[in-house]
Amino acid sequence: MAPSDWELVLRTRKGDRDAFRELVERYQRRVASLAVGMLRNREDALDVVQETFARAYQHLDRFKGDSGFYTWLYRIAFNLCVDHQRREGKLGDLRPEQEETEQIGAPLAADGPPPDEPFHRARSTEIGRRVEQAIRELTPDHRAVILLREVEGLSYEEISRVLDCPKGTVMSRLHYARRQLQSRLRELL
Amino acid sequence: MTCADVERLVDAFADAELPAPTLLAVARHAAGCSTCDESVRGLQELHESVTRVVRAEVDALDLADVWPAVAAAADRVDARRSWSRRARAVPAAAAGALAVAAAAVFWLQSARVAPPRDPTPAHRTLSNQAFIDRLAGKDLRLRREPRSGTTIIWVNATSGGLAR
Repeated sequence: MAPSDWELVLRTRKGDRDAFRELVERYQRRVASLAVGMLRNREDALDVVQETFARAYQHLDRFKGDSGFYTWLYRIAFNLCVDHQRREGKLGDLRPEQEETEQIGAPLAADGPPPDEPFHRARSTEIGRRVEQAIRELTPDHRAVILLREVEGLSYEEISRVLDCPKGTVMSRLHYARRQLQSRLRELL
Repeated sequence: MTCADVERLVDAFADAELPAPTLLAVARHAAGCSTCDESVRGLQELHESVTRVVRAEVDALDLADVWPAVAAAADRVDARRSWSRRARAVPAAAAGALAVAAAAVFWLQSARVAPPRDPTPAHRTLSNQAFIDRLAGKDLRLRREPRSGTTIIWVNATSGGLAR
Protein backbone atom coordinates (compact mmCIF):
# COMPACT_ATOMS: atom_id res chain seq x y z
CA MET A 1 0.00 0.00 0.00
CA ALA A 2 1.32 3.42 -0.95
CA PRO A 3 2.26 5.64 1.98
CA SER A 4 -0.05 8.56 2.69
CA ASP A 5 1.01 12.12 1.95
CA TRP A 6 1.33 12.80 5.67
CA GLU A 7 3.64 9.82 6.15
CA LEU A 8 5.82 11.06 3.32
CA VAL A 9 5.85 14.56 4.80
CA LEU A 10 6.99 13.20 8.18
CA ARG A 11 9.68 11.08 6.56
CA THR A 12 10.88 14.08 4.56
CA ARG A 13 11.13 16.14 7.71
CA LYS A 14 13.38 13.46 9.15
CA GLY A 15 15.68 13.86 6.16
CA ASP A 16 14.35 11.15 3.85
CA ARG A 17 14.85 12.72 0.44
CA ASP A 18 13.25 9.76 -1.37
CA ALA A 19 10.01 10.45 0.48
CA PHE A 20 9.95 13.96 -0.89
CA ARG A 21 10.75 12.66 -4.35
CA GLU A 22 7.66 10.48 -4.09
CA LEU A 23 5.56 13.52 -3.19
CA VAL A 24 6.97 15.43 -6.17
CA GLU A 25 6.24 12.60 -8.55
CA ARG A 26 2.79 12.15 -7.10
CA TYR A 27 1.76 15.78 -7.59
CA GLN A 28 3.95 17.35 -10.25
CA ARG A 29 1.40 16.75 -13.00
CA ARG A 30 -1.43 18.28 -11.01
CA VAL A 31 0.61 21.32 -10.08
CA ALA A 32 1.65 21.58 -13.73
CA SER A 33 -2.02 21.62 -14.79
CA LEU A 34 -2.67 24.63 -12.61
CA ALA A 35 0.51 26.41 -13.69
CA VAL A 36 -0.05 25.80 -17.40
CA GLY A 37 -3.67 26.87 -17.12
CA MET A 38 -2.75 30.00 -15.21
CA LEU A 39 0.31 31.09 -17.16
CA ARG A 40 -0.39 29.70 -20.64
CA ASN A 41 3.33 29.28 -21.18
CA ARG A 42 5.13 25.97 -20.80
CA GLU A 43 8.52 27.25 -19.72
CA ASP A 44 7.06 29.58 -17.12
CA ALA A 45 4.79 26.78 -15.94
CA LEU A 46 7.75 24.41 -15.49
CA ASP A 47 9.58 27.09 -13.52
CA VAL A 48 6.56 27.47 -11.28
CA VAL A 49 6.27 23.69 -10.80
CA GLN A 50 9.92 23.46 -9.72
CA GLU A 51 9.66 26.51 -7.50
CA THR A 52 6.46 25.19 -5.91
CA PHE A 53 8.16 22.01 -4.75
CA ALA A 54 11.31 23.85 -3.71
CA ARG A 55 9.21 26.16 -1.51
CA ALA A 56 7.22 23.21 -0.21
CA TYR A 57 10.47 21.52 0.84
CA GLN A 58 11.76 24.69 2.42
CA HIS A 59 8.59 25.33 4.43
CA LEU A 60 7.47 21.77 5.04
CA ASP A 61 7.44 22.36 8.79
CA ARG A 62 4.60 24.86 8.24
CA PHE A 63 2.35 22.15 6.81
CA LYS A 64 0.31 20.97 9.77
CA GLY A 65 -1.62 18.24 8.00
CA ASP A 66 -5.02 19.75 8.77
CA SER A 67 -5.75 20.03 5.05
CA GLY A 68 -4.71 17.97 2.04
CA PHE A 69 -1.07 18.20 1.04
CA TYR A 70 -2.11 18.90 -2.55
CA THR A 71 -4.35 21.78 -1.35
CA TRP A 72 -1.32 23.27 0.37
CA LEU A 73 0.77 22.72 -2.77
CA TYR A 74 -1.86 24.36 -4.96
CA ARG A 75 -1.86 27.34 -2.67
CA ILE A 76 1.89 27.75 -3.09
CA ALA A 77 1.60 27.23 -6.85
CA PHE A 78 -1.28 29.68 -7.20
CA ASN A 79 0.60 32.38 -5.28
CA LEU A 80 3.69 31.80 -7.41
CA CYS A 81 1.60 32.10 -10.59
CA VAL A 82 0.07 35.37 -9.38
CA ASP A 83 3.55 36.67 -8.43
CA HIS A 84 4.85 35.66 -11.82
CA GLN A 85 2.02 37.42 -13.64
CA ARG A 86 2.51 40.50 -11.52
CA ARG A 87 6.24 40.49 -12.24
CA GLU A 88 5.69 40.04 -15.94
CA GLY A 89 2.98 42.68 -15.90
CA LYS A 90 0.69 40.54 -17.94
CA LEU A 91 -1.95 37.91 -17.50
CA GLY A 92 -0.18 35.24 -19.50
CA ASP A 93 1.39 34.56 -22.81
CA LEU A 94 -0.43 32.18 -25.03
CA ARG A 95 2.01 31.26 -27.70
CA PRO A 96 0.12 31.03 -30.95
CA GLU A 97 2.62 28.74 -32.66
CA GLN A 98 1.15 26.17 -34.97
CA GLU A 99 2.96 23.39 -33.14
CA GLU A 100 1.13 24.06 -29.90
CA THR A 101 -2.31 24.41 -31.35
CA GLU A 102 -1.79 21.11 -33.16
CA GLN A 103 -0.86 19.44 -29.88
CA ILE A 104 -3.87 20.93 -28.16
CA GLY A 105 -6.14 19.63 -30.85
CA ALA A 106 -4.67 16.15 -30.98
CA PRO A 107 -6.33 14.62 -27.91
CA LEU A 108 -9.72 15.90 -29.07
CA ALA A 109 -9.21 14.02 -32.29
CA ALA A 110 -8.11 10.92 -30.42
CA ASP A 111 -11.21 10.96 -28.22
CA GLY A 112 -13.72 11.66 -30.96
CA PRO A 113 -13.53 11.41 -34.70
CA PRO A 114 -10.73 9.56 -36.50
CA PRO A 115 -7.63 11.75 -36.80
CA ASP A 116 -7.37 11.26 -40.55
CA GLU A 117 -10.45 13.35 -41.22
CA PRO A 118 -9.23 16.85 -42.03
CA PHE A 119 -12.53 18.54 -41.18
CA HIS A 120 -12.75 17.07 -37.69
CA ARG A 121 -9.09 17.68 -37.04
CA ALA A 122 -9.43 21.31 -38.02
CA ARG A 123 -12.53 21.64 -35.87
CA SER A 124 -10.81 20.05 -32.88
CA THR A 125 -7.86 22.35 -33.31
CA GLU A 126 -10.19 25.30 -33.55
CA ILE A 127 -12.07 24.26 -30.41
CA GLY A 128 -8.81 23.85 -28.52
CA ARG A 129 -7.58 27.24 -29.65
CA ARG A 130 -10.84 28.96 -28.77
CA VAL A 131 -11.10 27.30 -25.37
CA GLU A 132 -7.54 28.28 -24.60
CA GLN A 133 -8.19 31.83 -25.73
CA ALA A 134 -11.35 32.02 -23.63
CA ILE A 135 -9.49 30.76 -20.53
CA ARG A 136 -6.74 33.29 -21.14
CA GLU A 137 -9.25 36.12 -21.22
CA LEU A 138 -10.49 35.35 -17.72
CA THR A 139 -9.01 37.23 -14.78
CA PRO A 140 -6.45 35.20 -12.75
CA ASP A 141 -8.96 34.64 -9.94
CA HIS A 142 -11.64 33.35 -12.31
CA ARG A 143 -9.09 31.31 -14.24
CA ALA A 144 -7.83 29.71 -11.03
CA VAL A 145 -11.29 28.77 -9.86
CA ILE A 146 -12.14 27.19 -13.24
CA LEU A 147 -8.89 25.21 -13.33
CA LEU A 148 -9.12 24.01 -9.76
CA ARG A 149 -12.72 22.90 -10.22
CA GLU A 150 -12.89 21.67 -13.82
CA VAL A 151 -9.41 20.23 -14.26
CA GLU A 152 -8.36 19.32 -10.72
CA GLY A 153 -11.80 18.45 -9.41
CA LEU A 154 -11.36 20.22 -6.07
CA SER A 155 -14.43 20.78 -3.93
CA TYR A 156 -15.63 24.31 -3.20
CA GLU A 157 -14.25 23.98 0.30
CA GLU A 158 -10.82 22.98 -0.97
CA ILE A 159 -10.81 25.78 -3.54
CA SER A 160 -11.67 28.29 -0.84
CA ARG A 161 -8.64 27.08 1.13
CA VAL A 162 -6.33 27.29 -1.88
CA LEU A 163 -7.49 30.76 -2.86
CA ASP A 164 -7.95 31.92 0.72
CA CYS A 165 -11.46 33.23 0.16
CA PRO A 166 -14.93 32.29 1.41
CA LYS A 167 -16.82 29.41 -0.16
CA GLY A 168 -19.50 31.84 -1.35
CA THR A 169 -16.86 33.76 -3.29
CA VAL A 170 -15.70 30.53 -4.91
CA MET A 171 -19.28 29.79 -6.01
CA SER A 172 -19.88 33.24 -7.44
CA ARG A 173 -16.50 33.30 -9.23
CA LEU A 174 -17.15 29.86 -10.67
CA HIS A 175 -20.60 30.88 -11.87
CA TYR A 176 -19.26 34.05 -13.48
CA ALA A 177 -16.27 32.30 -15.08
CA ARG A 178 -18.44 29.57 -16.56
CA ARG A 179 -20.87 32.07 -18.04
CA GLN A 180 -17.97 34.02 -19.52
CA LEU A 181 -16.52 30.88 -21.10
CA GLN A 182 -19.91 29.75 -22.38
CA SER A 183 -20.63 33.10 -23.98
CA ARG A 184 -17.22 33.09 -25.71
CA LEU A 185 -17.60 29.52 -26.89
CA ARG A 186 -21.28 29.68 -27.75
CA GLU A 187 -20.93 28.63 -31.38
CA LEU A 188 -18.55 25.80 -30.55
CA LEU A 189 -20.18 24.08 -27.58
CA MET B 1 -38.40 23.29 -8.00
CA THR B 2 -38.72 25.90 -10.76
CA CYS B 3 -36.49 26.81 -13.72
CA ALA B 4 -35.31 29.87 -11.77
CA ASP B 5 -34.29 27.62 -8.86
CA VAL B 6 -32.38 25.33 -11.21
CA GLU B 7 -30.66 28.28 -12.86
CA ARG B 8 -29.50 29.38 -9.41
CA LEU B 9 -28.35 25.89 -8.41
CA VAL B 10 -27.10 24.48 -11.69
CA ASP B 11 -23.38 25.04 -10.98
CA ALA B 12 -23.55 23.39 -7.58
CA PHE B 13 -25.64 20.60 -9.14
CA ALA B 14 -23.04 19.96 -11.84
CA ASP B 15 -20.32 19.97 -9.18
CA ALA B 16 -22.30 17.65 -6.87
CA GLU B 17 -22.07 20.26 -4.14
CA LEU B 18 -25.76 20.16 -3.19
CA PRO B 19 -27.34 18.17 -0.38
CA ALA B 20 -28.78 14.90 -1.64
CA PRO B 21 -32.47 15.94 -1.53
CA THR B 22 -31.78 19.17 -3.48
CA LEU B 23 -29.59 17.28 -5.93
CA LEU B 24 -32.43 14.87 -6.55
CA ALA B 25 -34.98 17.66 -6.96
CA VAL B 26 -32.83 19.45 -9.57
CA ALA B 27 -32.24 16.18 -11.43
CA ARG B 28 -35.98 15.44 -11.49
CA HIS B 29 -36.76 18.92 -12.79
CA ALA B 30 -34.04 18.82 -15.45
CA ALA B 31 -35.24 15.42 -16.65
CA GLY B 32 -38.58 16.97 -17.57
CA CYS B 33 -37.39 20.41 -18.70
CA SER B 34 -35.42 20.76 -21.91
CA THR B 35 -34.13 24.25 -21.07
CA CYS B 36 -32.70 23.22 -17.70
CA ASP B 37 -31.44 19.94 -19.13
CA GLU B 38 -29.59 21.97 -21.75
CA SER B 39 -28.03 24.15 -19.01
CA VAL B 40 -26.72 21.05 -17.24
CA ARG B 41 -25.38 19.56 -20.46
CA GLY B 42 -23.76 22.88 -21.34
CA LEU B 43 -21.79 22.79 -18.11
CA GLN B 44 -20.75 19.20 -18.75
CA GLU B 45 -19.51 20.09 -22.24
CA LEU B 46 -17.62 23.07 -20.89
CA HIS B 47 -16.00 20.87 -18.25
CA GLU B 48 -14.93 18.33 -20.87
CA SER B 49 -13.51 21.00 -23.22
CA VAL B 50 -11.52 22.82 -20.54
CA THR B 51 -10.19 19.57 -19.08
CA ARG B 52 -9.17 18.22 -22.46
CA VAL B 53 -7.34 21.40 -23.50
CA VAL B 54 -5.42 21.82 -20.25
CA ARG B 55 -4.58 18.12 -19.90
CA ALA B 56 -3.32 18.04 -23.48
CA GLU B 57 -1.03 20.93 -22.70
CA VAL B 58 0.25 19.24 -19.54
CA ASP B 59 0.79 15.94 -21.39
CA ALA B 60 3.04 17.83 -23.78
CA LEU B 61 5.20 19.03 -20.89
CA ASP B 62 8.41 17.20 -20.16
CA LEU B 63 8.43 16.85 -16.39
CA ALA B 64 11.61 14.76 -16.30
CA ASP B 65 13.66 17.78 -15.22
CA VAL B 66 11.42 18.68 -12.31
CA TRP B 67 12.91 16.33 -9.71
CA PRO B 68 16.59 17.07 -10.48
CA ALA B 69 15.85 20.79 -10.22
CA VAL B 70 13.87 20.34 -7.00
CA ALA B 71 16.59 18.10 -5.54
CA ALA B 72 19.20 20.76 -6.31
CA ALA B 73 17.02 23.40 -4.64
CA ALA B 74 16.54 21.09 -1.65
CA ASP B 75 20.33 20.70 -1.38
CA ARG B 76 20.66 24.47 -1.26
CA VAL B 77 17.97 24.68 1.42
CA ASP B 78 19.72 22.01 3.50
CA ALA B 79 23.07 23.76 3.08
CA ARG B 80 21.55 27.07 4.19
CA ARG B 81 19.92 25.39 7.19
CA SER B 82 23.18 23.75 8.18
CA TRP B 83 25.04 27.04 7.82
CA SER B 84 22.49 28.97 9.84
CA ARG B 85 22.57 26.28 12.56
CA ARG B 86 26.33 26.74 12.76
CA ALA B 87 25.96 30.51 12.62
CA ARG B 88 23.53 30.34 15.53
CA ALA B 89 25.93 28.13 17.49
CA VAL B 90 28.96 30.44 16.96
CA PRO B 91 27.63 33.51 18.84
CA ALA B 92 26.72 31.35 21.84
CA ALA B 93 30.19 29.84 21.97
CA ALA B 94 31.76 33.23 21.37
CA ALA B 95 29.72 34.81 24.15
CA GLY B 96 30.77 32.04 26.52
CA ALA B 97 34.44 32.42 25.62
CA LEU B 98 34.19 36.18 25.99
CA ALA B 99 32.68 35.85 29.46
CA VAL B 100 35.44 33.45 30.54
CA ALA B 101 38.11 35.76 29.12
CA ALA B 102 36.60 38.78 30.83
CA ALA B 103 36.49 36.95 34.15
CA ALA B 104 40.11 35.86 33.74
CA VAL B 105 41.28 39.38 32.93
CA PHE B 106 39.37 40.78 35.86
CA TRP B 107 40.85 38.19 38.20
CA LEU B 108 44.40 38.79 36.93
CA GLN B 109 44.03 42.53 37.24
CA SER B 110 42.73 42.35 40.75
CA ALA B 111 45.43 39.88 41.80
CA ARG B 112 48.37 41.64 40.12
CA VAL B 113 47.64 45.27 40.86
CA ALA B 114 46.08 45.62 44.21
CA PRO B 115 44.66 49.06 43.99
CA PRO B 116 46.51 51.36 46.40
CA ARG B 117 44.16 52.37 49.08
CA ASP B 118 43.44 56.01 48.92
CA PRO B 119 45.41 57.49 51.78
CA THR B 120 42.84 59.41 53.65
CA PRO B 121 44.08 62.10 56.06
CA ALA B 122 43.43 59.69 58.90
CA HIS B 123 45.78 57.14 57.35
CA ARG B 124 48.38 59.73 56.53
CA THR B 125 48.33 60.74 60.20
CA LEU B 126 48.75 57.19 61.41
CA SER B 127 52.30 56.86 60.04
CA ASN B 128 53.38 59.94 62.04
CA GLN B 129 51.35 59.13 65.05
CA ALA B 130 54.10 57.42 67.03
CA PHE B 131 56.41 60.40 66.59
CA ILE B 132 53.72 62.89 67.53
CA ASP B 133 52.77 60.80 70.52
CA ARG B 134 56.36 60.94 71.71
CA LEU B 135 56.18 64.73 71.60
CA ALA B 136 53.33 64.79 74.03
CA GLY B 137 54.50 65.90 77.43
CA LYS B 138 54.24 68.77 79.81
CA ASP B 139 55.05 71.36 77.13
CA LEU B 140 52.73 69.85 74.48
CA ARG B 141 49.10 68.94 74.39
CA LEU B 142 47.61 66.94 71.55
CA ARG B 143 44.10 66.88 70.30
CA ARG B 144 43.07 64.55 67.49
CA GLU B 145 40.23 65.28 65.12
CA PRO B 146 38.93 61.78 64.28
CA ARG B 147 37.03 62.79 61.13
CA SER B 148 39.78 64.68 59.39
CA GLY B 149 42.68 62.83 61.01
CA THR B 150 44.23 66.17 61.96
CA THR B 151 46.22 66.34 65.15
CA ILE B 152 46.31 69.69 66.86
CA ILE B 153 49.42 70.22 68.93
CA TRP B 154 49.23 72.79 71.68
CA VAL B 155 52.65 74.02 72.70
CA ASN B 156 53.42 75.70 76.02
CA ALA B 157 53.87 79.47 75.67
CA THR B 158 57.41 79.33 77.05
CA SER B 159 58.42 76.77 74.32
CA GLY B 160 56.87 78.59 71.36
CA GLY B 161 53.46 79.18 69.82
CA LEU B 162 50.72 77.13 68.39
CA ALA B 163 51.70 74.45 65.91
CA ARG B 164 49.50 72.27 63.75
